[in-house]
Amino acid sequence: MIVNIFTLVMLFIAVLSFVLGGYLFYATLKILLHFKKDVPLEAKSKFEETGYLIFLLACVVLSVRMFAWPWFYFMLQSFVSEVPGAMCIFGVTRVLPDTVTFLQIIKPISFFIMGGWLLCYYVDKSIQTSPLARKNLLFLLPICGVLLADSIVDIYYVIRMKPLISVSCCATFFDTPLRPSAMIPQALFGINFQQTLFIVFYATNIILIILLFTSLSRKWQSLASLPRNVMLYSQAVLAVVNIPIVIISFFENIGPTLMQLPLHHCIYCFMGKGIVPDAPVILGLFAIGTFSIGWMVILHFICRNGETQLVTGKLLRKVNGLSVFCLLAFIMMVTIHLILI
Amino acid sequence: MKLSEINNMKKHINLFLLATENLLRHKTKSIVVSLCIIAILLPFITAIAISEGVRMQSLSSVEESADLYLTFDEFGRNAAIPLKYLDEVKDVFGVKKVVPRIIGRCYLQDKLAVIVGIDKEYLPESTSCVSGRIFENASEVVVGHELAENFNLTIGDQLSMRGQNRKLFTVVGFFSSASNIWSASTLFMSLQDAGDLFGKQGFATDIQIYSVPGHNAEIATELYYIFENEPYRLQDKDMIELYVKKGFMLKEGIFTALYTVAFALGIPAILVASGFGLSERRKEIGIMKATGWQTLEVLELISFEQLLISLFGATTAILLSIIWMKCFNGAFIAQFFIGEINLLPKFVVPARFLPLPCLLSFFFAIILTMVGSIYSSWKASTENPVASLK
Amino acid sequence: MIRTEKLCKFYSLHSRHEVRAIRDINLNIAKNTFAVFKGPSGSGKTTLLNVIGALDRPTEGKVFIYDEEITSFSDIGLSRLRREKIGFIFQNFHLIPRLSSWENVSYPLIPLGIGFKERFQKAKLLLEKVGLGDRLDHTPEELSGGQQQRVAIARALINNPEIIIADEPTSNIDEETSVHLLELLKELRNHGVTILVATHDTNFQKIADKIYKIRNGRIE
Repeated sequence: MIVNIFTLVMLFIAVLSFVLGGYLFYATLKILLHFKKDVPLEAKSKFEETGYLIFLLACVVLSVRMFAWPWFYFMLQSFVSEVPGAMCIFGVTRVLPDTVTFLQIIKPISFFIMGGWLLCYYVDKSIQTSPLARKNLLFLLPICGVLLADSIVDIYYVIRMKPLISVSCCATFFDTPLRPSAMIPQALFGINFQQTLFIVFYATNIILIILLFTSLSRKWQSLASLPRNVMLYSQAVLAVVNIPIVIISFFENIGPTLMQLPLHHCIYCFMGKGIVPDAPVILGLFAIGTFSIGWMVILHFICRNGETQLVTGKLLRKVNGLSVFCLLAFIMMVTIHLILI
Repeated sequence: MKLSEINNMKKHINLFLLATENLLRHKTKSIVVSLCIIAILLPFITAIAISEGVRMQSLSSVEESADLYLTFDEFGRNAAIPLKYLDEVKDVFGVKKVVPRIIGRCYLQDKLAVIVGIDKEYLPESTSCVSGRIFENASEVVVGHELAENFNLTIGDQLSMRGQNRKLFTVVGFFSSASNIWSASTLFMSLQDAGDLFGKQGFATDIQIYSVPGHNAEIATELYYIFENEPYRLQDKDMIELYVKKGFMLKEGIFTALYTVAFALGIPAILVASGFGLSERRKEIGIMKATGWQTLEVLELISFEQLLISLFGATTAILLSIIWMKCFNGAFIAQFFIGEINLLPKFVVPARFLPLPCLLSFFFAIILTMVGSIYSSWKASTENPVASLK
Repeated sequence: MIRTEKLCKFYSLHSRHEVRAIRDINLNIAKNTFAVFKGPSGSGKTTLLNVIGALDRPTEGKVFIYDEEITSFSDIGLSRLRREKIGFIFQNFHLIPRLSSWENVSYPLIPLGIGFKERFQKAKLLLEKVGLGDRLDHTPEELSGGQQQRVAIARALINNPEIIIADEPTSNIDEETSVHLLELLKELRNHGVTILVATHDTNFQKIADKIYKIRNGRIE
């Protein structure tokens, strides 16, 4: 194990969220096993009390995991000086690569699903009879599983991380002609894919923003005359398609342009070296904007109930608005950066 | 914005303001919990600040130093290098300047001082003579002004030191350095005198090589041919910087390791302190719920109180840490990061309060109070109003 | 307006210390009724009022307010009901000690998002109505029992409730305040508020629209 302030804080956070997440899982399972629709009235109070404890624990665990997400990258950055040959975070990711890849994927997932759960909880608590209590508890179980997995793998990674091998510089991976981020668009758009990719990047994002605006504005909705469901599903599909487009665009076009290193395609250098200081903000806005669309889908599926219709509708609009704001801010920041270069 | 949304926002503002009032009303609990947080965070923030300060000074020393360091290698460690190679090294293409030096340690009375033997024209730029002059003749030394204050030295004083040989030196000047640690422990003398003191004439602990930018690789190749059959070692500035960074990371890490135990113990302490405060307010919470407050609103109020306490605690800890550095010079903590100093250091300990450790202290304070008060907050807010009003 | 069906509340059920506070209570109280519940100590008056007022959940049975079954409500639903429709006046006043009179009265308005000035104005109006306009900044320790009860009454009225529930409101106050309280409740009844009072005070029984005698948890 590499002993520095970053690893120890990470370990502390991971152990804390493991303990809290474990108790959360236990409490949720216990209440679910005893959950009956027609429960004696006094027992209902007990369920509700435990429900509040679960909510409190969930909020604390979410806060801790939210901090863990950026801290994970701070920790990786601190390993750069420890790993022989590493010039940026990429080099660090070559040590225990599967574990790091897993952690990089599971952290945004856990943030996403936890956020979805909190929204469903809000809807449930807005209704006098709490009609979604059981659904929310069922939803919480896999979330606890994800949180526990995240914490356990964090602990494993921190303990097992040892710079025993020498690694290559990111340029040997990201700057070769056969890099993965170039091969896919090249196969689709041909050799001069970068311009097409740039157009596709803007097209998908603008269309997505327009679709989101349409949901917000009644006037536009009536003009479009599409059912709400169709609108939501198309937003979700486009958001999913947009994710790889944005990622590949950042690797191929936008990242190198903003770094003013047109031949360097390392996303870690873009994020972490301070060349583009607001890079984390840009990508953070995209993440939240995309997550918001996912949260709308979660709300639509889980909070589908006659009683919750009104509250869910209002919340969907708010989340829709958040998505529009974030994606619009994301696109504007990228555009301003590109103009100013 | 609709009226209901405005009212919702105002509700949160109202709860926040009420939380502030409650903290002022329940002073005992607020102070106790805040003191817990301050007691846990204060040494941590101070330690990290000292570490960062010392690291900054070390790195700036490295930055202004040579591009390459040439030593011999003995059993995998740096060893003294004979000066006979000096001229050959000077002639290598790309070398701008070659500075042999001896760095050793010697007792000055009861204090271990750092002896730097170097020709006067090569004294580091960051050191400047504050009084007297640089050594010009044999057996003359320039002493760090903080070290001199420690021993009440004046210009002209004589001091005896014993390395391999005992030598008598005359103090001809005092210097100050950008690095306080240097000023507090270092004496400069000529290379010759240092060699005599340590019984190693004709040797240097290392040879600093200043190179033309971009020529390090070529110099390294040339040196390979010069020292073909000799066990030599060449380290560049980046490597030294790396060792310095790693060293400090490790020290900070060890200190943090001790502190995570303290943080972990802090959680039950907060649990007790915050729970004690909340149990007094059982009846108040019962009245609130009887008059229409929802459990979530009570929870929100209590959470705001905990948040405010943690923010107050963390802010106070940072301010007290700054005062601790200014007034007490990092007493009791500095020795973890600076070798061979007392509990109360006699020189100004460098410290740097960076944003990340301060943010980390806020995070820890919030986590401590949130986690520590989960049970007590929950118990208080879910209390049956009928039971609590009895 | 208020209806109960086979309402029961038991404590420590099936144990040695089992207490059946109320059993099989069936009530039908119309809107704008002044209902008095009388009975000896321990007969279940307070428990009945607590259950009707959504302060506690029954063991069995149902409670309907405006034909909505409140026993199926979640904790949040019950809180909303207490906030919007019910005002409580307790025997022991239950004022928050460190708050002034107007702060005690306006406390229920805080989670509604009502600003400081508006809260103060509303509280001031109510306190003037109950004759305490000159005691706005006094804390409960600085008030007599009767004055504290009047503050409690003002607090119960702050949200314009449709139902007032008073549990032995006059047992700890003087005669004069008791008469004043009665006048106030009569006035509220005339404005359409439904009043439920648990009391031994005969003055209340004289003006009540309905009197319920409770003995051993049952209505006689």
